[in-house]
Amino acid sequence: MTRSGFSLVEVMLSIVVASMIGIALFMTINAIKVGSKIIEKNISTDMREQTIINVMRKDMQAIFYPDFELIVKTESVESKTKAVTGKAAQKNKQDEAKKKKSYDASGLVIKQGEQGNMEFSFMTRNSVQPYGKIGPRVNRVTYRLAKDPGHKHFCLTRQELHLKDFRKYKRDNIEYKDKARSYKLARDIKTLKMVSWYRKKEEEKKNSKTKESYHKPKNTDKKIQPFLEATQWPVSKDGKNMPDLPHFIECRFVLWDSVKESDVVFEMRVQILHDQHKPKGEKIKQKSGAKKNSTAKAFGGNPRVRKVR
Amino acid sequence: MNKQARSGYILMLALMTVSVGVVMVTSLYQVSQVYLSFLRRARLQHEARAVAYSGPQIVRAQLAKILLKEQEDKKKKTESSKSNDKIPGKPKKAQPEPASATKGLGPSQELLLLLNSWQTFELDERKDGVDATLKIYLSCEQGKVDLNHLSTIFKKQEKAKKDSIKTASKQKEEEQLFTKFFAKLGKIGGGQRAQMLKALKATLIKREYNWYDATELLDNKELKPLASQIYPSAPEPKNSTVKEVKPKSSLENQISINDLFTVDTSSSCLVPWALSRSVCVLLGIPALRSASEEKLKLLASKPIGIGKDSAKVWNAHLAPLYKKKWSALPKLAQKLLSNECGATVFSVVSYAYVGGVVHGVWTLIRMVHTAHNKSNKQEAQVRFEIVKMIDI
Repeated sequence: MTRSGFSLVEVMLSIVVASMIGIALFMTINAIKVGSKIIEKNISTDMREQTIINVMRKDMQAIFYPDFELIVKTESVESKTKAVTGKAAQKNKQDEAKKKKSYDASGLVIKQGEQGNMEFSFMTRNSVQPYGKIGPRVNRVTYRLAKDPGHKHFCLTRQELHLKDFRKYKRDNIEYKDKARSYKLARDIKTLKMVSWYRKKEEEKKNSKTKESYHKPKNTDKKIQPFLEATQWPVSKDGKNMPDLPHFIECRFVLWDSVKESDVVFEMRVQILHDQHKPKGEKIKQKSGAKKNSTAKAFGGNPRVRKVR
Repeated sequence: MNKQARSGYILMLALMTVSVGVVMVTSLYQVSQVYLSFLRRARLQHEARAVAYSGPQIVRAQLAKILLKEQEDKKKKTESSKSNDKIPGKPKKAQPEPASATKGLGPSQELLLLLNSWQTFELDERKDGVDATLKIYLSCEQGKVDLNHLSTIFKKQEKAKKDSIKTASKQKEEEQLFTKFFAKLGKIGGGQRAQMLKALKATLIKREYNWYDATELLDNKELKPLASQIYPSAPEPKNSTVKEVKPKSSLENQISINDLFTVDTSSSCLVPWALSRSVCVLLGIPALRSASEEKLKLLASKPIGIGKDSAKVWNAHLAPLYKKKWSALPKLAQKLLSNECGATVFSVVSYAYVGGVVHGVWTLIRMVHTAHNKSNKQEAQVRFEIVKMIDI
C-alpha cells in the first residue's frame, strides 16, 4: 500500500523553505524598487539642473542692450521752443527732433514679478538654435516661472522671440505674444530667486543714498567683494531709461524632489561680459590713451554652480 | 497521474519566481544604464566646454607674448638709435611712437603665422587630465568688413542719389562699387545672384540702427544661402567619432558670415596684412597664410605697417603674395584698404573634441589700454580682454 501526500515534516520543511525564498524575493524586489527610484530621481533632478544650467547660461552670457533704446520717450517741448529765439531755439528744435526719434524701451527691460508670475526677459546674441537650424542669433528671450496646471509647484518656461525691428516691440503686443513659441524648460520648481550683482559706480559712491534698491551684502569685505546685490533690475535716474547691465546674475533654484519628498537647492552664477571699450561711431584713427573704470574682466564665463541637497 | 501534476506545479512556480526576478533585475539594469550614459555624456559635455573655453585664453597669452616681443624690439631699436645719436655728425631721426601702444599690433612674423589658420592641440589624459583635441582659429576683426560702416556708405550713396540728379555714368560707377566687391558672394546664391546682391544692398540701406550681429542679415529670406556657414568650420580631427557635415566647397574657399563681416570695429578700414579668409575669397586672392613661412618672415621685416601709402605698399610687398595688383582690386576694397587702422580686435573660434562630444565657442578679444599715470612716469599698459563670448 502506497502512502499518498506528504508527511508533516516535509510540509513544514517546504513551508520554511518557501517562506525563506519569499522573504529573499521580497527584499530583492524592494531593493530594486528603491534603487530604480533613486536613479529615476537622480535622472529627473540632475537632468532638470543640467537643462536649466545649459540653456540659461548660454542665453545670459551674451546679454546686451540695444543702444537706440536708451532714450526715454518724453513729452513734446514745442511750447518751450516758441518762447526762445536764435541759437537756443535751434538747439531746442534739434532736441525735439531727437526726442521724436526716440523709442520706449520698457518692453525690453528685464522685469521681475512675484512668485508664480515671475518674468525675466532680455536681449541676447546667443539664443539657442534648435535642430541645427541656422538663423539670426539676436533674439529676445523671456523666462517665466508660471503656475503648472495639474502640478503643485511652478514650471519654468522659455520663450524666444525674434524681432526684425526691435523698436516695434511692445511688451503687451498680442501679435508678438502669439507668434513667440514658448516651451516648458523644467517642472516642479518651488522658488526661483534672481539676483544681479553690480560694481559700484563712482557717482554712486559719492551719492549712495539715492540708490535705495541696492543693499550691501552682509558680512562682506569691501576689498574682496566689491559688488552690490539687487533683486530688481535698476533703471538709471539720469534721464535715460538705460538699465545698467549687471556684472553677474545669480540664480537660486529650489527644485521639488517628488521621490524623496524633499527640496533640492542649486545656484548658478553667470558673468555678463561688457564690451565697454568699443569705439563709438566712426573713427578711422583710434585714439590712444588711458581708459578708466574698466570693470569687465576676462573670464571664461563658466557658471559657478553650487548644490545644496 | 497525481504525482506528475504536483511536480509540474512546483516547476511552474519556480520558473515564474525566477522570471519575475529576471524582469526586475533587467529593468534596474536598463535604468542604471540610461543614468550612467547620461552621467557620462554630462561629464564629457562639461569637459568639452572647459577645454573649448581654454582656447581664447591660449590666444590671449599668444597675443600678449607677441606684444611683449614687439615692445622689446622697439626698445632695442630706440636704445640703438640713441647710441647712434651720440655719435657726432650723424643726423637725428624722428622717433615713431610704438605701434603697440597706440594703434594695435603690427605685422610680426608670429602673428602672421597665427592669423587665419587652425592651431591644433592634442591633450593627453596623463599630462593634461583629459583626452581631447582643441582647435583654435584666430582672425583679426580689422581684416573683415564692418557691417555698420558698410551700411553708412550705402546710405550716404542712396541719400546723395535722391538729393541730386546724377549722370548715368556716375550712377553706374556707384552701382559697380557694390556689385564688383560682392561679385563672388553673389555666386553662392546660384541662379539668384542678382536678387541676392540686391537684397543685401537693400538690407544694408534699410537698417536704421546699428547691427548687433552679422547673422541679423539672415532676416532677409533672399540672403538665406549665406546661412550655410556662420563660423569657419574646423578640419575634422583624425580620431574623431563625431560625424561632421562636410561642406560642398573645400575649406579654403568657404565664405562664412562671421569671417566676412564684423560689427565690432566701428571703423572704415581693412588691415591689408590681416585680411580674413572669407574676404580673400571675396576679393579672389589667396589667403596670406597659404604662403610659406619664409615668405611671411620676409614680409614681416618689410614696412607694411600702419600709416604707409596702401597702393605702394600693396604693389611692392603684398601683391606678390596676394597675386593681384592694387589696380585690379575692386574700388570699395581699395577705399577700405586705404584707411589707417591697427589690429586691435581679434576673434577666436575654438572647438573642443572630447570623446564623441564637440563644443564650440566664439570669442571676441579686444586690445585695451589701461590707465597710465604721467606724473608717476608709468607706461601705458595694454591687455587683451575678452568682451564677448558665444557658444556655437
